[in-house]
Amino acid sequence: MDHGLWTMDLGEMFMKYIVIVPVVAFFVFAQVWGLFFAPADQLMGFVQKLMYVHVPAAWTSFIAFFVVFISSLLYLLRKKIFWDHLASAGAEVGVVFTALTLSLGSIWGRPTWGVWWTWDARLTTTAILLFLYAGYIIFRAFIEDRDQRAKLSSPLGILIFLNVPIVYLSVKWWRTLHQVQSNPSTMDPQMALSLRLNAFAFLFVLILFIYYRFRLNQLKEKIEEKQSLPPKGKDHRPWTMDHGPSVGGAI
Amino acid sequence: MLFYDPTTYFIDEDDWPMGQRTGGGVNFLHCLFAVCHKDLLSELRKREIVNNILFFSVLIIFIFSFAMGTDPLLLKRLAPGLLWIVVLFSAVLSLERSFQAEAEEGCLDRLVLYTVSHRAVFLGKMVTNFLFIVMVQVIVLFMMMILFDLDWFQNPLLLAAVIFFGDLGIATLGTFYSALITKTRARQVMLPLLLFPMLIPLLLASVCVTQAALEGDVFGQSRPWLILLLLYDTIFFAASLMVSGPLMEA
Repeated sequence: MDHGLWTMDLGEMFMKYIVIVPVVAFFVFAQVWGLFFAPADQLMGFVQKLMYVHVPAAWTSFIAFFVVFISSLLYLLRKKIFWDHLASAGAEVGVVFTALTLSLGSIWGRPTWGVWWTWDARLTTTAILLFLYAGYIIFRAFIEDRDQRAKLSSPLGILIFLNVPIVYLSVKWWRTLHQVQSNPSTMDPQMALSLRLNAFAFLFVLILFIYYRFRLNQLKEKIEEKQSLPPKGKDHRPWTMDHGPSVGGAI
Repeated sequence: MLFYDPTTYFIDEDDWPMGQRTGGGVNFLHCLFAVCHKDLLSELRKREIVNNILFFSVLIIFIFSFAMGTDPLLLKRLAPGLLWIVVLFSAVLSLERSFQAEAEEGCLDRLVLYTVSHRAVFLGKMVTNFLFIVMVQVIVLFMMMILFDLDWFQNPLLLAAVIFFGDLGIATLGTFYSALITKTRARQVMLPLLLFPMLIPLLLASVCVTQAALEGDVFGQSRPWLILLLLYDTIFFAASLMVSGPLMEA
C-alpha cells in the first residue's frame, strides 16, 4: 500500500492534465477524423461511420476480458489482492464496452441488414459474453468477504474465458450471417487510418477506465482496512488487560 | 450398505502413514467413493430427486406441449430441444442442493480440513450429480418417447453417447458452480444465472446430435458436434479439476 501518493494533489493533477485531457482530446480528434475526413462507404453511405466506434469497442472489450483472465490466473498463482482488483475492474469495463458494441451494431444492422437483431455467430457470441461477464459481476456483488470473493471469482474468471472460443465455434456452426471482416487491402486507406486512430483512442479510454475502477477498488479496500483496525493510541477500555491495542479491534 | 462401505477406509486414527493419506492413489479413490456413497445414501433416504425433481421434469413436458399446441408433428420436431431444456432445468434444481446440506451443517469445512485430496471430494460430488442427471434424463426420454412417439431405435448408440457426454458436461460445470455458490447469498437465482450461459455450446451440440439420433443422420452431420461435445467436456473437466482445490478452500 502506497500511502499518500494518490491522495496528494500532485497525483490528482498529473492524472487530470497529463493523462485525461490528452486521452479525451485524442478520442474527440479520432471521432471527428472518422466522421468528416474519412470517405463515406459506396453502398452503405454515412451509416458506415458507425464502424469507427463499433469495431474498436468490440476489440477493446476483448482486451478487457483478456485482462480479467490474466489477472484471475495471476491471483490463483500469487494470492495478491491486487490482481483481484484488476480482474474486477476489467470485467466491469469489458461489460460496458460489450454492451456498447451490441447496441451500436444493432443501430447499424437496422438500416443495413433490415433487422435490429439476428442470430448470427458473432452477434450471439457477443451477447453470450455479455451474459457471462454480467453474471461474473453479479456473483462478485453477492459475496461480502473480500478474500472469499477473490478466491471464488478467480476460477470463475478463468473458466468463463475458456468458454469464449467454444461458444464462438458452436454458434458459428449453428448459423452465420455476419459479414467477413474487411482488411486494409480492401478498404480505402483513409478508412483504415480512421479505424486505427479510433482503435487507439478506445484503447486509451479503456486503460483509463480500468485504471479508475481499479483505483476505486483499492480505495474501498483502504477504507475497509481502516475501519477494521483499532484506533491508534492507548486502549482506554477498562475491560481489556493492558496489552496495548487489542488485535482485530472488533468487539 | 449401498455398494461400498466407507467406514473401512475413511478412518480418523493415525494408523496410516501421512504420505499414503494425502497423496496415495488408493486413498483418492476411497475418498471419491465415500463421498459418492454418502450422497447416494442420503438421496435414497430423503428421496428429494425422485419425488420432487422427477415430477417437476415430467410436468415441464406437459406444460410445454400445452404451450406449443396440438400438432404432433411439430412436437416431434421440437422434442430434442425440449429434452435438453427439461434436463437443464431439473439439473439446476438438483445441483443447487449438491453442496447445500453440507454447507448448512458446517460439514463442508470438516471435509475440506480432512487430509484427503480436495479433488477427490469434488469428483465424488460430480459422480453423484452425474448419476442423478442421467437418471432424470433417461426417465424423461422414456416419457417423451411415449408422449411424442419418438423412435429411439433409429440410432441407440449415438443417443447413449450424447446422453453420456452431455450429462457429463452438465455435471462437471454444475458441480463447479454449485461449489462456487455455496458461499454467496441468493443461491437459487445465482446458479442458473451463471450456469446457463456457460452451457450454451453444450446445449447446441447435444440438441443437434440428439436430433440426428432420433431422426436419422444420413450425411453424418452429427460427427463434428459430437467432437465439439467431447472437446467441451475435456476442457472443462480438466479446468474445474485444476481449480477445485482453491475453490473448496475458499
